Amino acid sequence: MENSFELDSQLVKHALQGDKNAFATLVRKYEKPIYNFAYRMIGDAEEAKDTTQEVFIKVWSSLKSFKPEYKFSSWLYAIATNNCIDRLKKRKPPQPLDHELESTEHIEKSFEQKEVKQEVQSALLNLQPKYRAVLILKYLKDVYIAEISKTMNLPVNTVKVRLHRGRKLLRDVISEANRIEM
Amino acid sequence: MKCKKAKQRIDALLDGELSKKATAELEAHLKQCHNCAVEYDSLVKTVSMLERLEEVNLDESLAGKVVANLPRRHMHANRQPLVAFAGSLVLAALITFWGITWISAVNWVDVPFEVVRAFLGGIALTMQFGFITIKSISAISQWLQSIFTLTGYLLVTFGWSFWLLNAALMIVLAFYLRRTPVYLARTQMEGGA
Repeated sequence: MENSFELDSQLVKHALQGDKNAFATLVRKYEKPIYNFAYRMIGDAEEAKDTTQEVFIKVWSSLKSFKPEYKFSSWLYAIATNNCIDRLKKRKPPQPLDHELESTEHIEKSFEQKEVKQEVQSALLNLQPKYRAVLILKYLKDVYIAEISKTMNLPVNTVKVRLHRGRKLLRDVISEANRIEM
Repeated sequence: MKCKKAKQRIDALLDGELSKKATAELEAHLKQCHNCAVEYDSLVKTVSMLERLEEVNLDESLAGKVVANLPRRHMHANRQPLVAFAGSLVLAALITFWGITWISAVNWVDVPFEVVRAFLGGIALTMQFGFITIKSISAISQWLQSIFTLTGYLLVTFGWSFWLLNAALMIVLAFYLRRTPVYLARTQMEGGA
């Protein structure tokens, strides 16, 4: 049986020859994960849809530069990350938090009584996109650190630093939001 | 174990990169150190909350819209800089050629100059302006000629700099394209941490 990797390679090959049906199959296969990623990055359903479409159009335009030895999904996430960051840059920036980190003890108690998921999403949107992207890829898309590093063309240590800092910032934003509301 | 080391190990553990032995040592430290235990718990809870975010449903397939908006031909991502490079080569060639023609004072370069001279001469003769004489016209013409020649040298210098710049850019570009598997992705990527 053909595995996903080989199937993607075949579809890319056909799409490169101008087969739009093959490309549509790729879009249908990956639109949901890319939409989800864009939604978590941007926080708006309509904008996430637009971004998803833009990503696939960019993918079509640059298919020739895709190297078959790489995972197609990783390449997609790299393009999606860049696209989301570009879109966020064009927006008016909500003050990104990069302040002194602190520990918290009261997260669990208050979160049990609240719309936890909504709070996490809005906390995520308060982080700088570079932290947001690695957190989403690592924890929501299960992409390995080495894979994030390879597809984003960043050193492994840079990815780790962003991950470590991102986790702490996310914790602090959640904690801060709860302190204000309490 | 010191707290600083314990915090590094917490990060490594959450990255999924801590050995069993190091994990056991960390656990022993967490039992003794309240601050580190709080740090560890809060981060584990944060990650756990993040992981519990559910998939968002996409209410319609975007495949139709995407396919309808696809450009007709693939544009090779690597071709864009090459097109720019070819363009700059043509520009360099044009500038160099232009400069050389100015220096060598090919006839057509003299045309506007001759027109000006004839025009001024005509005015001087017909309107009999005292301050425009044949001598002053000749001086002006020589002056203009020197400016044209100087401009020519500048243009040639500029043209040759363009050639050199192109060569340098080509080397950098070749290196870059070889190094990066995802050219398009890289061009939009941010820098370091």
